[in-house]
Amino acid sequence: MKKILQVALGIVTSIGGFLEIGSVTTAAQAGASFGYQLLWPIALGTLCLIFLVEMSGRLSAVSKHTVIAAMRDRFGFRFYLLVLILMVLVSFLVLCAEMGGISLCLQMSTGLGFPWWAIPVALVLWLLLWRGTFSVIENGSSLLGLMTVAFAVGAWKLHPDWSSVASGLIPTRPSEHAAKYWFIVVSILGASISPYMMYFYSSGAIEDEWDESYIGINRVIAAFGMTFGGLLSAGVLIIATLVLKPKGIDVDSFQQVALMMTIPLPNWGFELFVGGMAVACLGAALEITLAISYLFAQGLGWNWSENAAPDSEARFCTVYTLLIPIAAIPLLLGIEPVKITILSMALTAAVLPAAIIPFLVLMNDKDLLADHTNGFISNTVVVLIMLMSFALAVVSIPLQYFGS
Amino acid sequence: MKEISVEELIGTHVVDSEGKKLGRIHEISAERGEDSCLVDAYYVGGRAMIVRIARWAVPSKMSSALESKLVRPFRIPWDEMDLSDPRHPRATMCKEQIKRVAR
Amino acid sequence: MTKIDLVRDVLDKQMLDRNDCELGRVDGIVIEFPENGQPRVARLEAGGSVLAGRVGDWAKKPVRAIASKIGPKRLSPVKFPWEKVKKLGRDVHLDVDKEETTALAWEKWVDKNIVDKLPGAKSK
Repeated sequence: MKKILQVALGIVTSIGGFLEIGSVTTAAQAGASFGYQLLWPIALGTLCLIFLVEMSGRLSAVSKHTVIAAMRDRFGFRFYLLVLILMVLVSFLVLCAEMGGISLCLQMSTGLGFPWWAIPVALVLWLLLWRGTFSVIENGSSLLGLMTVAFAVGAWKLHPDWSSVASGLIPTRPSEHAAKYWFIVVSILGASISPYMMYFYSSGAIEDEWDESYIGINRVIAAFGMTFGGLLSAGVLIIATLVLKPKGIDVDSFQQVALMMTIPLPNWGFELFVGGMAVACLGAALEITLAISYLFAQGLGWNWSENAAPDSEARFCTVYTLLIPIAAIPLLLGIEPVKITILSMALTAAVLPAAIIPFLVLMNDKDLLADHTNGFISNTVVVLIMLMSFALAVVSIPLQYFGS
Repeated sequence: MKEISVEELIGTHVVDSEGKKLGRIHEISAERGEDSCLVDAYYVGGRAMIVRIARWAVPSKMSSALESKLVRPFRIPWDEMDLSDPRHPRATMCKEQIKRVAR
Repeated sequence: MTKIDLVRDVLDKQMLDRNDCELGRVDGIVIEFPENGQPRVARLEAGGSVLAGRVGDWAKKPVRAIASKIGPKRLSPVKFPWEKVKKLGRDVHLDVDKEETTALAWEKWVDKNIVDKLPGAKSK
């Protein structure tokens, strides 16, 4: 019974934790510009994330080591340092974007500009990490983030032509604006396949003291939780297709995404969007901050645990205490969060090989995982999607920024 | 008594007694006793790199089998390595002799 | 006598004390070369100066400069004689107590100078 409840909670928190400013903005852009045509990268990204999340949980449950710890053990300091630098830089940008997302939601509810909210948001984020435990943070924000189920409801209420929606799952080439199309593909993939999720999830498995008996639960949580989360992203795309595309509105602000919710859900659409997204971005910001702190602490051998008091994990806590105010600086300077979001998602796709290749080597190590190493399908799916993301990122990022 | 750190040695190029290149040191094996740990041999060469990478991806029993059957790095016993200049290690045997010693 | 590989089995592994508390990672291993006789592993080392050396010679000076200005000003690495190694496995278990070592000097300094100055540091 306890395990059934854990599965249920795990799935619910995965759904609530899936959406954040990156997935929503990229899905809305995709729908507004290309309609259903870009559903396939959402599906691919979600599929890849299911595998990665399941693998992270399995690695930790069986080896009792986190992904980061295992990486330093196996690949040595210099390789770890390279991954640390790349992941911290990219994750930092994503953190700025998420804090920006919360600030934008507050701007939309109060009218006060987002730079004014940078400091209060940073303070709340820090307080939650300083005083909160792992389960309170993970479960609390994810349960509240279930407000984002409004996207699925909204999409359903607009009565899309489901056969057209289904055809969007098949990759097609764009008839025009190819550079933009592929750039959005890359951004969607980067928004879905977030390396910080691997580090966060595997650390969570250790914090929650998972063992081999959790392997089945882990699979169910990863599969169902991420699938439902991906469906929410698809919901955003469908709404954008039906509301924004016919009007030729290109998504370049969060406000447009909020307003599009008022068509399918005229009474509560805006409020649900603002409330749900604020919590979803907060949840993502907490995860990213912890992931970066874990990257330092686990790789360098410090004590770490979100469940322990700060004075017993001083260096670990200092990382996030310094990180959060620094991440607030771009917002204080008035840099538009959506711009940071789009760039950070694309860069995430570009650095995926640095995160995934060592991870895959670990997942095939029988010394670490005994009988629970990857099968052919896991390896193949992840490698293919990673290579595609990387190749597209390398080509499309310069095209988008320098070619247009 | 001279002290050299493992990190200083790993990655340094080794030459044989005639100055011919053998490759880089990739691993140092040791024999662990009750209270001591004595250096046994240095593993050198491009093939040692393959073994080192293979060890990440295959279990230790399998990688030993790989090492002995398919991939044979140069194995330089501790008493055949001149580390008077740690940055330029030199085997005291010539390349052909070392190959014969490899597992 | 068991055969081990120093890079694969020891270097970069997490070190734990008698009570399984984290002591940092094995950032370096020092080998002693007697005049006549087989070289032996003398000790394990940890610390920023050791890591800086692994990045490159160019990194040692700036790391040393920083370590001499802030922090516990511990300029030499943390050292554990090989005799203290109790068990080798996924982690390296040492027969020491963390309080007897300087492994947590930085942790204590950060705790005293940053964390303890903020409210609510002592409990959750």
